[in-house]
Amino acid sequence: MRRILIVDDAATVRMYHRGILESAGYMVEEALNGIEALEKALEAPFDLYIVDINMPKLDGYGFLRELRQQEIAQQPAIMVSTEAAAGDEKAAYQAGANSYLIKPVRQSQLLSYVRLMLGEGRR
Amino acid sequence: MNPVPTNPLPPNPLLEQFLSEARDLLEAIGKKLMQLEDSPNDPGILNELFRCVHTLKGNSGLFTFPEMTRVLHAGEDLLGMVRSGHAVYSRELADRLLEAMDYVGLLCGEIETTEKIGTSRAPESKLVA
Repeated sequence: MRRILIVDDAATVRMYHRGILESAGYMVEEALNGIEALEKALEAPFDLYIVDINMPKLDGYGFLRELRQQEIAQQPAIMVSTEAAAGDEKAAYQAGANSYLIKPVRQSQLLSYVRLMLGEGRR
Repeated sequence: MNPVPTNPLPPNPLLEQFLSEARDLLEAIGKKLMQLEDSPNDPGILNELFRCVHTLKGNSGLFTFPEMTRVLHAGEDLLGMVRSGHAVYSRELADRLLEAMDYVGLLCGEIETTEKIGTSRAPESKLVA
């Protein structure tokens, strides 16, 4: 079963994304900020990361930059932002994101991107 | 013996989570606004305040609560202007934010009871925003 880490300080968003992903058969874990996410990723890398930008302690950009410096953690990452703030998308790709989505991410959109990032066909 | 009151609405775990987190965030926002009264130039407190409003706005976007999202978006924009130096934090500004957050709290109460926001709130929320 593919493992996905949701990195977001908003419990409501984590619950929303978890519900969608688990119902599609993925194994989901959560981290509340970049530091916690980095610890979990270095312990056992995930197949995919879904990362919020604005978080305490270490934000999404910082987490991805740190993650991309680790040889064992080059798996795909989808960065999610609350809105299309100028420069956010470019900064996300520069930090190491493979894709960028605007919240709220609808169920079909999230699953499409997750499958694409994981190299899966339609299930 | 009085009958045990029952909630006529079916449980909605995501909505319950939203309301619980909203209450926590509104409390945190109130505290940060009070802290800013003593330290109006503290960027750390201002950033935390911005993040709380930003998170609450993002959460509200998961539901069909445009009235709430509208007010929070305006509050976020205002704080963004203060953060970027395009507006100065003042007592008046703090009062406006407190007023807006009280309104968001009121909307949360309405959602808790009816799982929706009444249509009459639309023009009202534009005034608050």
